[in-house]
Amino acid sequence: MTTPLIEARNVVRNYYSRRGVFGQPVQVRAVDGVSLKIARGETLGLVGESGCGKSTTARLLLGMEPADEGAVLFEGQPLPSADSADWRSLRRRMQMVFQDPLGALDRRLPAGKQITEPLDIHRIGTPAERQARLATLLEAVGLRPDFAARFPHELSGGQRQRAVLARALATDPELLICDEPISALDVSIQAQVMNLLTDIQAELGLGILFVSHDLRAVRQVSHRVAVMYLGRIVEEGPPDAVLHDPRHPYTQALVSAIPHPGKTTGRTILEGDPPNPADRPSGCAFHPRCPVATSFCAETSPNLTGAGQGRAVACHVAQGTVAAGSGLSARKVA
Amino acid sequence: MAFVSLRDMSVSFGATPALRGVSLSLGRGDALGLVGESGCGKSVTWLAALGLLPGTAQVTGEVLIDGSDALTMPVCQLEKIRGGRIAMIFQDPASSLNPVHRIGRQIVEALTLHRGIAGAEARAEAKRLLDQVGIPDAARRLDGYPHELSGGQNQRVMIAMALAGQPEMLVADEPTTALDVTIQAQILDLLRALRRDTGMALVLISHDLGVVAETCDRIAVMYAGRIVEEAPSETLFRNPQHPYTRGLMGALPPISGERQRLVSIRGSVPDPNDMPAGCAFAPRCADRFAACDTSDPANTPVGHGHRAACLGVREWQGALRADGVRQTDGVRRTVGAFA
Repeated sequence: MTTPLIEARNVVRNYYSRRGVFGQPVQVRAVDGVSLKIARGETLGLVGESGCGKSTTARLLLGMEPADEGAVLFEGQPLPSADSADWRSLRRRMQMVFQDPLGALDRRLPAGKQITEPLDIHRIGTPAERQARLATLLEAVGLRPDFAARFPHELSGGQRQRAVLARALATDPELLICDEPISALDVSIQAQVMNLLTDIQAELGLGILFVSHDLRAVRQVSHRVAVMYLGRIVEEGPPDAVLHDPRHPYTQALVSAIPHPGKTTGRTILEGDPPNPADRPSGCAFHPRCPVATSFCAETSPNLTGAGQGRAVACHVAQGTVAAGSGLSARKVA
Repeated sequence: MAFVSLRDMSVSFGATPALRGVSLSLGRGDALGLVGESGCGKSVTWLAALGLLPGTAQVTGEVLIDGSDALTMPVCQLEKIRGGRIAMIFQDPASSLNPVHRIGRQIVEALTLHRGIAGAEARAEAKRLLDQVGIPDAARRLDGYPHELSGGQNQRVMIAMALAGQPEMLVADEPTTALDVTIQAQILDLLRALRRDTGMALVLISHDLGVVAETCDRIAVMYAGRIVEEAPSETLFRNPQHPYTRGLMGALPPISGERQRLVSIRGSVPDPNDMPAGCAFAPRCADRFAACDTSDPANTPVGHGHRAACLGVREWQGALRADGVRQTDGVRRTVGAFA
């Protein structure tokens, strides 16, 4: 098998948070042994609720944060440490798009200046070549040439996100990490940006990590999807397989929670909130909310193992280790 | 008679129009969804109707609540309606609750204000309300602070406070937008259960067609300060008439079937200070006529309880067609690629 563009091997990232002035620092495992691979021309969708570690995973892949355990490999080579010259030159090959385009742009600089800034930083091309590149980039993301002179506040939300995307594409990256790139946008604009990402990928053959909480959007743009819960990947596979036949009870609940015209019954409603990563439940982290949990689930943590057809799931019940229980505190609502 | 009816309500901030003639009516126990993109005026509609906009806003038209006009009634009378007969909850529960007061005290305050009960009786009622909205361990939570609760639980507290006045109608403004998907499902389920148990009317404001479709009987789609289409939920999804409604549906990625390029609406929402002369949607519309650039379409009935503001629709001839489905073929001239 060819070397993936980027690969994470069992990466772990811990934070420490202190409770109260005199409290002992508490270890929070934001990412707890995540492994994933993205090939060229492939989009991996990463789904999960807030606080599950999706954004931290994205930052780990870019080397913006060091992994406490495990390794991130870019084209089979370990990622150089952040702020080293090697890392900086590698960064032109991997770029990031954030959720809030206004926050990601400098309000005091015109859009065009910001789009060519990565070229200035990496000293790519002559000034004339950079201007030519700017015109190409604007066209690629569907912005009119005169938009280059506009300031971020003079652009609409969708146009700002296009400008951010143009900037990310300026250095011709091979990997694009998109962290909730459409969540702050209106529905009709979301569709524009999703179409744009698909087009750009088809043209440039980028590898994309698409982080989102929106399963519909993830299905639309991804070739594979990974579902995260409390710092771990609990299910992975092709989007249609995962969405139409989810194996993990958490994925089942996520899928059934998608609002759908005409659907009001038969929904699995999870009780409770996503747990605090600082206070991780024993065994399978999902067991307090799981409708099929058994006492075994509260003791032993399941591993992510293959389930055939390119799928993997981390659940004792789905793996057949134990028979489905009736949950330790959840209910099923018709 | 309708419980609340808005008649040709317009709102402007200085010279900037925010609402351009909104008419809506809501019977007792009805559930209406109000859908549109940011800035279309869906929140302003209800803030204006309840007199919650700042003094700089000029509001015209009529807001009839049980037959009396809320825009002209004395403030003391309006205050009995606000929070009492009509309650409202907002997107971000954490910023709507007071962070330095205990949850119990905030609910008791609402109870004292609207129902005139205090002391142990109010506290018992507050606990009952927390139980009703599904907060576990309600008695202990009364003494907690908002920061000790999660976003979903704070939204439940907001709903409990809204229920304190035993309202006849609840206006929920993007109540689940700040919440995770599984928590959103919990809150929508709670709203449905409350409607079933108390018979209150519900207005659900959302940018998400899916959210309103499964919670409301009727949906109104807003665009640039106006309602462009209104229909029973099922009709709207089966037979959308306005190109904007169709655009919103096309922009929603499907959950099954073959993956296709999304049909996105070109361009973006018009600047309220620089509205197009004709139909506000015309510059983005793929189905426009020449006339769309000059004349602003009026609301036209197109079926049973179904109206749309588009020159491309043909007026429905009452009971001429029993199925209520209109033929569009031949009526519409598609102007495909426009610059």
